[in-house]
Amino acid sequence: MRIKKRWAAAGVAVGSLVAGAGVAYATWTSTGSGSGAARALTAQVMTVNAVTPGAGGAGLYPGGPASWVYFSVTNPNPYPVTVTHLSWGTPVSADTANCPSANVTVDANAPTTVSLPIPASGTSGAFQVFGVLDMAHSAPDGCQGVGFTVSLSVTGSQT
Amino acid sequence: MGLRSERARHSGVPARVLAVAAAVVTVAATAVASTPVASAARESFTISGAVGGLYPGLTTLLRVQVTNREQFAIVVTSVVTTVEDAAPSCPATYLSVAPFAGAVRVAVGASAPVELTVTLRRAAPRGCEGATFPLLYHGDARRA
Repeated sequence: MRIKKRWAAAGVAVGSLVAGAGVAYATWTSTGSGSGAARALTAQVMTVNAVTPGAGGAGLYPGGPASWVYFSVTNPNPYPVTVTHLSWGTPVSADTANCPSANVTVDANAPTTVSLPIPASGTSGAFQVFGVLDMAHSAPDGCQGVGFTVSLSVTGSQT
Repeated sequence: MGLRSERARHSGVPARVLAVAAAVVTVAATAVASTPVASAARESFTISGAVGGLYPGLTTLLRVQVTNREQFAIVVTSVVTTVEDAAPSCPATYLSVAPFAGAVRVAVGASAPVELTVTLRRAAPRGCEGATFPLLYHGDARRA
């Protein structure tokens, strides 16, 4: 009884092999090949846009605490970026005749480490960074209502 | 991580699988012995295509064109891609192209698109910025 079962199993195996050979003979198969490429893009430079505060946004006065600045950032890259570092330049007066630029300086403790989210392929809202600019105690009356521009470089990475 | 799992897969191949492989080899040998030379597998279509604009973390479609060089319609059933290093600082491991398995009919002398999914890994280093990965395609087809 046990021997018969063993033979029966072998018969099935042979049958399968023959059927497989028949299928391979009838089926046309072929291959193809070729080449191509995948290219990673190069990061584009972001742009810092000066934002002029309204009258209520002015915070500089002679001898006062370090004031804030406003700006937005345009990111041309297709991915969001987080700005993590700020590098401040030298402030420039909009009215150098009545208020020389030297009356305003970057505070020694102006923040340089931040975390500012910038959307992909777009422009952020206006950021307000505190404690950036100082106005000299000796600043003349001609500085009242004068705007100042400070150059700013930002560094960030993909979010 | 991927290498480790690959090794584990190979070392863990049970004896049952090895036995099946041997049986397949036997069948193939039988078929070749009785099959005309003209029906043997051969290159009968080309594959080409490129993709750009990749950045870390992006998964996008890579549309390749399959061009039929036969005198009859074919059905492309698979396309696999081998990725080569873009640069020493940007090895191929950072790019993956998923294999295609399906059925795309290509008429005589015509071309048809096959869409592959490509991903530049999130961990791709700075060296991959602006880099180009060469891709090698290989596909299988059957007569329509």
